[in-house]
Amino acid sequence: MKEVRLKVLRYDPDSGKPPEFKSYTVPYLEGMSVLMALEAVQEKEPLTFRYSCQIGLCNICQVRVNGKPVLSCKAVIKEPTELVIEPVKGHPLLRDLAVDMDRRVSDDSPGRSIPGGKDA
Amino acid sequence: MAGYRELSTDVLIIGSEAAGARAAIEAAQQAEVLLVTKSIMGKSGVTLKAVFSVSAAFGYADPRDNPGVHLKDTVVKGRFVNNQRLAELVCYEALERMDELTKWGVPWDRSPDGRYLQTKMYGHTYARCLSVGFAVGIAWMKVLKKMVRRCPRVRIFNDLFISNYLRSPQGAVVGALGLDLRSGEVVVIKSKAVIDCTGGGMYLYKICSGTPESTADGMAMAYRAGAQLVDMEFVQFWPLAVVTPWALKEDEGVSAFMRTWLKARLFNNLGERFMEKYDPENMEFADRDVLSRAIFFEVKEARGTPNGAVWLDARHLGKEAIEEVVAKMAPNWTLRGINLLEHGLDLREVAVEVCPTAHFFCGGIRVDERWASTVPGLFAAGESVGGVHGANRLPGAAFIETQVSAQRAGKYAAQYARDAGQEEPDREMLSQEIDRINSVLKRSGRWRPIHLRKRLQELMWEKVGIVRNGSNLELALQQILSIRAEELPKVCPGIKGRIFNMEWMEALELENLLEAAELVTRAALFRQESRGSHYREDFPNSRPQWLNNIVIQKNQGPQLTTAPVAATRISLEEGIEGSSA
Repeated sequence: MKEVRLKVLRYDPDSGKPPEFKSYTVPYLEGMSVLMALEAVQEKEPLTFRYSCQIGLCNICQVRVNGKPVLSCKAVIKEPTELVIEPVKGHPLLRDLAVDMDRRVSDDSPGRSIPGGKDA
Repeated sequence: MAGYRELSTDVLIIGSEAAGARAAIEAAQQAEVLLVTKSIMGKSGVTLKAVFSVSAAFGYADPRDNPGVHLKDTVVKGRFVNNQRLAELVCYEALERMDELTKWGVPWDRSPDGRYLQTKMYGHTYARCLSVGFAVGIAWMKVLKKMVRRCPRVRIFNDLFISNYLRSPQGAVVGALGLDLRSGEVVVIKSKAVIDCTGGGMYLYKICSGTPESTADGMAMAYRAGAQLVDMEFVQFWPLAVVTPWALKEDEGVSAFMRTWLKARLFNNLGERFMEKYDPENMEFADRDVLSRAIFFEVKEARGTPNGAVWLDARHLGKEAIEEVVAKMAPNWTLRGINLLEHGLDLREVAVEVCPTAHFFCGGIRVDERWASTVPGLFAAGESVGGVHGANRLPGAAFIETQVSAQRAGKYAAQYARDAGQEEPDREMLSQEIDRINSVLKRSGRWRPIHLRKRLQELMWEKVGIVRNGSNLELALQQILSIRAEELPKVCPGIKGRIFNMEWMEALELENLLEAAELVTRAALFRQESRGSHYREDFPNSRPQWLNNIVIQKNQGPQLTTAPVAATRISLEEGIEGSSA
């Protein structure tokens, strides 16, 4: 059975701990997207990531794969391999791969989250 | 009472896409507006996914066309159970609303004479559908977001999940309660009027063309608030969603392109062009319900692919002809930013696996011509409203519905807000709702929301889907009630913290999904006939005594009654003739 190995940056804002990588293995399906791989992980344990349209139109599923920003729903995993998945830079980190899209941070190190909704 | 943050406004709008954005623009002319969404405006929701048609009877392509003909088409294809007054308003006011979008910057496709390009789509008598390439939804949201940002009286609050409306002791809607996802704080919003623009409930089904936001929140909340819902049994399925390649699962753009521009044909796994059996006159351009059922039967009777699909195939056109169309309409083999060749879709060489998908809720909150619900203070616009489309929606109709309904709801909600003033919410109700939201987080239990949701989606797909029958519907209802009573209380978010806890929101959404599931199933059981998108194997024909609408209202539990269709413009004679006892 072919597999994809994922190293995903996890972040729990309640834990007081900084983000750290955790490794997962999911079955490889020809033509699968990074989003599908994340969903396979989420089936087994809670993992927070954003998605909506799943066809590359809404842009909410942005993540970094091997350092490069992509839309997880469009990034096709071409072969069984290992991928490093992190949140995009430039926004405060909320939880795991989800960032606050209404705020920007110039310091792009993950972990500087600003809890509290934008003042309405 | 547990802690919460309080906000206040004149008009609260829930849902930020085509309907919500337009309602905000309108209401802001007279009132302060708070526009909230449980995701990010312009980066979520179903509007963005819209591919092609927006129907508006300008009569440019064909001078025989006009809104009256459009209304007739709408009622005929709606199988005569439309709310004709609402349908009329949508067909007639569509013209002004589309011209307005033009003024605001939507770059419609143009014909050589400079006027809107109008395409003839199935179900429409004349060519009347406007378009913006294959990405009309993206074009609309770009413009609507820009126009909302120009309204100083509109505040946008992203990542705010609304869990219930707030009501006064007299029962009027006076605001809403929710969860600020980013901070994990409960938020109480007092408003003089509320407009629900939360869309449909396609996420009820295993295969759907909606988004994870399509969890019937508004319909469920309106029902809980005592509002009437109507036509809940009419869930439309779009027949040709992509099944493989996996990364394009549920995409409708590729298949729409293939059918419309490459005249693609449908084949089962035995190589038969099966639409000959089901609708030889229209073949692959049969109405959505006819086509969806045909594919369903082919797959059910073991003539589908191992993935439960059929084949959409354009190869008969020949390589040169395909290349010509692609060069013109999808240069570089790229459609909506997706390069087909990169996904293995060389349409000169391969066919594409497709199957039906839950696509649109024709039913929803019952409204009058101000798009005001039966509960004072609550208005609704867009897909969460029932009645415009009857039993089956025409292509291009959802979009015009968003704009006409939102402009009217926005205007009348703002007027209502001005006249009604702010009433105080019932304190007991408020306290209970805050406790409910918090208690979901604190539960310990067996299942994460994702697992129960998948079971529900599977159940709805199998038993309350494209082809229904009485005994399956009874079974489904029992299972839904049992899930709500026994298993929902044991659903527990897998994440325990308050900050950006999507599983907390998913557990709350699950309540809405179960609510909607029950209402759809009960309505489907109640309607003992087949009509449009509602098909019962045990009652396969339309019956004249069912020329009415099923209205649901909470009275302890769901109470179902029928209301006769009011033929305000289009005679029902043809509807009666077309049915059998």
